[in-house]
Amino acid sequence: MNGPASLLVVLAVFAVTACATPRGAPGALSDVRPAQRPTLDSDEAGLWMQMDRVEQGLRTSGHLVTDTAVRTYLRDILCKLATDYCPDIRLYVVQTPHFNASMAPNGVMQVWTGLLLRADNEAQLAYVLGHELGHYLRRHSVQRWRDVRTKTNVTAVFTVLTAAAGHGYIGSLAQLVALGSIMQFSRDNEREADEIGFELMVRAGYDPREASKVWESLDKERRAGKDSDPLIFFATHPPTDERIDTLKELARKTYTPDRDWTDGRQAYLKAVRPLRATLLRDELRLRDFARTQVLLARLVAAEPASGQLHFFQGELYRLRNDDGDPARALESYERALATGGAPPETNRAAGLLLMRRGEKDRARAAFDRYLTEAPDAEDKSMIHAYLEQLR
Amino acid sequence: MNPRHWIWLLSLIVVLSGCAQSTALLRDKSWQRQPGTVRVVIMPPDVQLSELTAGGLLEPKADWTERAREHVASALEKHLQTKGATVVTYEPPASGGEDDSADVQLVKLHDAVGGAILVHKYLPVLALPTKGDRFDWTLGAGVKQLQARTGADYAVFVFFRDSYASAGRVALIVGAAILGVGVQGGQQVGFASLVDLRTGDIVWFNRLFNPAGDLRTAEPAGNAVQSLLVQMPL
Amino acid sequence: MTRGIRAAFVLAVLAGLLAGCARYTLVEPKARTIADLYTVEPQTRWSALTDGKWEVWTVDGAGLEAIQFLKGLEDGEPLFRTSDAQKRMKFRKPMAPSELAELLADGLSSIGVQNIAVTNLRPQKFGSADGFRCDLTFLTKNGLEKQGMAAGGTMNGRLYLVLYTGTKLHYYEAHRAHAEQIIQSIRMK
Repeated sequence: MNGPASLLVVLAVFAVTACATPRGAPGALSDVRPAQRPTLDSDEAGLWMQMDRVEQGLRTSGHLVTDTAVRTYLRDILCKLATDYCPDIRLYVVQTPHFNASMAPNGVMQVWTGLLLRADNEAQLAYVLGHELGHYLRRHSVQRWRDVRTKTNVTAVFTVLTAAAGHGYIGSLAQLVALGSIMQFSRDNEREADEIGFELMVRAGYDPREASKVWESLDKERRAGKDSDPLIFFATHPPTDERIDTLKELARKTYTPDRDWTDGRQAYLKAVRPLRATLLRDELRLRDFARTQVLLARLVAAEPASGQLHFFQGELYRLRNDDGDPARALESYERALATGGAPPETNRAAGLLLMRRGEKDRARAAFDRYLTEAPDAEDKSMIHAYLEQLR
Repeated sequence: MNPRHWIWLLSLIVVLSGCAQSTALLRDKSWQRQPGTVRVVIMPPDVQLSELTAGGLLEPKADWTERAREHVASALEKHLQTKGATVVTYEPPASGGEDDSADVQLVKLHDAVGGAILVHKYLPVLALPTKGDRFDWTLGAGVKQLQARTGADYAVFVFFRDSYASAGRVALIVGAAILGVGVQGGQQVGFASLVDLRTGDIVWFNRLFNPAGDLRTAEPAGNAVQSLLVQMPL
Repeated sequence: MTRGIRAAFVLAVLAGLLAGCARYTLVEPKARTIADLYTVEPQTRWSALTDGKWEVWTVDGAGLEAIQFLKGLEDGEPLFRTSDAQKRMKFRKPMAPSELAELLADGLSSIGVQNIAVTNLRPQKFGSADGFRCDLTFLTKNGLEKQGMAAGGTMNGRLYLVLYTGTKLHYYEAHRAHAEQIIQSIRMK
């Protein structure tokens, strides 16, 4: 069976199961067809228009990742999953440090860099993209809109839509949520999208056991960050043990050792690594240290020999600045420098801490190393001034 | 600025400055257009219409907006033509190009400048002593690429919104109850500028606050454009 | 409702709306004391408004261009009193200029500024302090490109900053020389 045909079969199967299960309200929507457009006087056209506007804003926002390599990489995975629908979907990589991906009814898919920072491998990424494709194929936005309108359970959607109508599309967190998922999909929608996402990743040959791991790691971060902002993603995608269990169960049934499954970790790291310093900087800017610590611990465990990751662990301590944090930061910087692959700023950060502690010789040595490694640094005259003070 | 803030600001301004007054601002009372036939480019009117459903839902309407945009554009064109101006159609540059982003920045700058004018010129309490009676805002030399590409002498920027906001809507409803000002669904607000493309100077600016306006049909849309463009010195 | 009562209501509402709204006052081109600590000598006229620890001067509107003076931030205070101020970076007396620039970027992002880049960090006297200068680029929430430059330093354990920002199109450049001259005119009182 070739790609597109098998995709239709997958959808047909879900259409049947969808009918077999009693659903909330409207339901009677057919799946979207390749190259399909809504008629102008429909409510669906209204939603499309709204998202066209958001898309126009998105294109000119200055928040898109312009790196062609990573965009091409994501596009290729998307097309592998979406087959015939690939030309209908416009993929945008948005530089924002939250875990999210979203799908608008007009075919705009957003992948936020917070997701790229967190997925362990290509299989997990493919599962999330597949999940979003599921929303698109089943036209969940329109379903949800009609459902909500008939129930007049309006608050969520009203807030979301007014926010989405805003110019400041990347302003407040609320607006981010609004953009991410023009509406809150129902649990049924999520379950359906989970299943389609799983089905699509499996069809593309990705290891089915990876799907549930996405939610598991995210859930750990969420628990750690419980005193601060909840992860945005959970505003729209409630993670339940049930979802994880369902995906595990699906994987148990699907996985067979004889088939040549891939998790695509090497290709994934190759594509994402060049962005990682920026993504970690953005993440730290949120100052949600408890959550970032869980994330960093996971990344370090997977790559203990990465000086870059040890540096960012040091940055976390330095910026958090609780009791004992400066010492912890210094330790991490030293580990980063000993491990190799640490960015030049490691020396500058260590130098600043040592300077504050009055360890002049060590501070000077650190600043010297910084200038040796980054002779054209933007702040080199400042560093020279520090060296002068330390003499 | 966010539309929610726009609504707030505009309702405050209309309360403070009154609806019926003549409101246009001129850079220079003795200002005159360039002699001969002037060419005017109409920047894509920034229009958006929504429906407020019974439950308080705000539903964006593609067909209304499309219609309103056409009505506004054609009313603008007609108005400019009766003034003897040659209307140049705005063609967006190739998508994603540098010009594209430059045009977008220009429109965003106009948004910001329009916001500053509304705040500092229409709200007496926030008047800038440095401005006094002068009206000398500009979009600067950034308009030159637009001038070069279109060959136009002037550009008209138009902005129309109806009542979107949650916070703004609450404020309007509360305000309406207290003030006895009728605020139903589609409240219409807007402003327009005439920009000299040789200098970037805003030579004329006006704002409109018309609760009864309906941009979906040609005639009221034409009236809205008329009242917005009243006194435009072309 | 009678006309009189309604008018009273209108006035009450307006008073409520405008409470806390200070008016802009005129800054003449002559020596002016900032924070009771140092003087500047503007060469042109500005409109000034005080907002907490910040004094804001503008010519065309603060969203277009503004020079802002931070009048002595105490140890432990965030740069701006935003709703998430509690988790933002706080000023600490022993911060080095590199960290102060970081504090500035963090503070700006707390008020919704996006994609901030701090460049050209360099030492420069600020009043009696071994201060710093730096340049900034960023986007507003609406995606409008802006530029900025900052000067600052710690004196008597408090942070003093002068921050000039404006739209990349026209307004930043229009008043940059005047802002630069103001920064250069800083003298201890």
